[in-house]
Amino acid sequence: MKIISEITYFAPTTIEEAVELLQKHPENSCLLAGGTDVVPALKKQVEKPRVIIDLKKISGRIRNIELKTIENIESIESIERIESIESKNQQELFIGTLVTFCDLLDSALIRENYPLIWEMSKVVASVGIRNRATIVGNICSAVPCMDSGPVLLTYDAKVQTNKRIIPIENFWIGPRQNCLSIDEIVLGITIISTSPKSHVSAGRFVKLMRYRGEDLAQASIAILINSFESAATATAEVKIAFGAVAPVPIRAYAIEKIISKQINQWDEWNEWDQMMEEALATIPDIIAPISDLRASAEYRLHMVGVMFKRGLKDAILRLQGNGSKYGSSLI
Amino acid sequence: MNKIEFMLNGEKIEVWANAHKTLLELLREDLGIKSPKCGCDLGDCGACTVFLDGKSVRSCLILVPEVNGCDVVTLEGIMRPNLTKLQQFFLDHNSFQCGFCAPGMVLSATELLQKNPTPTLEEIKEGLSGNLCRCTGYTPIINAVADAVATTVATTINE
Repeated sequence: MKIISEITYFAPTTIEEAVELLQKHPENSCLLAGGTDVVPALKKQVEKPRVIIDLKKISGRIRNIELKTIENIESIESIERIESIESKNQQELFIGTLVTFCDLLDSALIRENYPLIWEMSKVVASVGIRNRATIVGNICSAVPCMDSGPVLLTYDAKVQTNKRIIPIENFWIGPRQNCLSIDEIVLGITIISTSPKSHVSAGRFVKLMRYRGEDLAQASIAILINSFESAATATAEVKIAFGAVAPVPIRAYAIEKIISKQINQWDEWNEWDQMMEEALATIPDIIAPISDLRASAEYRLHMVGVMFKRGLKDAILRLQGNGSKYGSSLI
Repeated sequence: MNKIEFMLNGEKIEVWANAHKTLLELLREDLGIKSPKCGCDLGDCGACTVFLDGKSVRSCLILVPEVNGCDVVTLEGIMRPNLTKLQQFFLDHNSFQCGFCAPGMVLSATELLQKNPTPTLEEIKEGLSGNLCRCTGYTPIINAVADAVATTVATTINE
């Protein structure tokens, strides 16, 4: 399939130049990173831009994966508080716009600190695509079945652009639509979390697909459990998000509430069945799956329940240290 | 038209091309490099795989100006002058019938073994999962890579 429309190609070397180009061609320009979404869209004439602005020649931070510690100095009040200072230490992860899924898989930093991002990257298409496709491109294309969406939701990620910082939940406004203005460029994704010293964290990403290697998700789910232990009690928070079963990836706050309540009075799986029944009953109100060539709405609804049940069980087992290996298949 | 300079299989190439031309079209139609094949032309099948700066990519999803200043290697480039050891294993196992997927398979397997010289069967399947073969059912292809891994491991131990 040839691209039939003529295009003018620009490869700016700075963000400022790229913004200028966007301002000069407000109607018919398109940003290019990996191109694994843009080029098929050009071929199928889903998009007909006249101007392509390739970001790959821009150097600097947008190529990096960075992890830095944010010290919270204000809370130093007395020696007694030293422990709580430690627990208030936060870390910030930055994933630049040109970081590919293969970069994420090769990063020890991601694998150790953000295993859900690693687990998700492992099921994005195949090596040849992952070498090129970027996680920022994935969220900017805003296809409802994107793999990175649910995971970024559970990590409460933020999108940093040349103009502002947008919570990931507000980033998508509909299928294939993001909230960026015409001259706005995403610089990267940030995730702020408490330092791993103060809590144990485990999760599970499950992607339902017909075969590995190239298929898009029929449905996906990300579950993240953070357990904060202090001298007196352990408190846990659970975050759950679904993909490919609504116009945009969505957080399941209703289920999170049910599970968080139960998990903080965890009694060795005794109340598992009851908790599941309560949680599964809320799913139809949260998601709005459609029928398309990959799966029917009924199948998606059913499988989301199955994936949630198995996923949560595995996430809890991983938190306890005897769950499956990250990257293993669950369905 | 854009002027593009890049390295192709170790040789410097200078071409003038339209920006809406893909690397696959340039290689096959203008430069006579026929190992990358046009299968689905949408990045699914892996038949058009080439190495770009050492990584396997879909040449059908890359616009020609994107490779300006880059290093492109196709199957023609890695098998100079003879078959690679890995290709010999594919040959010994009768891995291919029509051969359309072969260049992509060889490149993907080469990259896999460069990154991980001792992959498990599961990792081999994962590494080749982006390359579709409509003839063989994949068994002789996977066997060839597994045999290459076993043999290399065996010879390294014997050395």
